[in-house]
Amino acid sequence: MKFAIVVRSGPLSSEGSRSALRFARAVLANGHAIERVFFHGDGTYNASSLTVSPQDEDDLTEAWAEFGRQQRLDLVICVASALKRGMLDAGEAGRYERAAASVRPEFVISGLGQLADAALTVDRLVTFGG
Amino acid sequence: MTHLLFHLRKPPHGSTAGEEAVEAILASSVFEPTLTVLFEGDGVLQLLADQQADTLGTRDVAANWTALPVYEVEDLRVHEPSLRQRGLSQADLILDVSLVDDAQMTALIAQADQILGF
Repeated sequence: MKFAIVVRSGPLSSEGSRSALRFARAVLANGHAIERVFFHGDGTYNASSLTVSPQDEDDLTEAWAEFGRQQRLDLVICVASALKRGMLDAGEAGRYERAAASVRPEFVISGLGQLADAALTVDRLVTFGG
Repeated sequence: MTHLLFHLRKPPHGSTAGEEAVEAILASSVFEPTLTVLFEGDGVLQLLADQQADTLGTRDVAANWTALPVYEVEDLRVHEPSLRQRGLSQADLILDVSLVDDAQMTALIAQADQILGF
C-alpha cells in the first residue's frame, strides 16, 4: 500500500512529529511504501539545520533527515509555510537576501500542489498534528 | 473520482491552521477532485462573521473562507451540534453551508477517500 504522511506540528510543539516518524518507520517495516512526507505549517520546522539539542535529548530534525536519507524518501516542506518561518534553502536565502540557509539538504522546498498530488495518488494519507 | 475531505477542528486566531487549510483547499481544487470541507468542534468558529480581526492587528481570516465559492469549492458542511453547543446558528456564519448531524458527519468521514485534518 502507498502512504503519504502529512506533518503539521514542529519538532517541539507537540507529539505529532515524533508520532509521524514512528508511524513512518512502521509503514516501511510492514512492507508498505511512503510516496511522500509533506511538512506543512509548523511542521516545516522539522527541516531545520540550525537546531541545537542537549546531549540527552534526541533531535527530531536529525532523525527525520537520517530516516529520509536512508530510505530515500521524498521529504517536502511547503514553500508558503517555510518562508514565513525562516526555513530557507540556499536558493531562497539568496533570492530574499537572508544571512543564512536553514533547511537540511534532505528536504525539498515545494508547493502545496505536492500535497494535493499525494492526496490524490496514494492509498492512505495520514495527518499528524492536524 | 477521489473524494478529499478537509476536516477543520481548530479555531481561528490561536494558530495558522485556518489560513493553511484555505491554501491547501484552493491548491487541491486545481486538480478537480470531489472536495468537501467539514467544520467540527471549535473549527466552526472559523466561519463566524464579524470577527473584527483588525483589533488584533491581523487579517480577517474569516474572509479567507469566502474565496472558496469563487473557486467552486461549494460543498461546505458544518456539524450542527458543534454550532449549537457554542450558542451559534447558521445565521452567524459568513458562508452558506449545509448542516450535518452526528450520523451524517460519521458517514461523510467514512465515505471520503482521504482526510486532511487541520
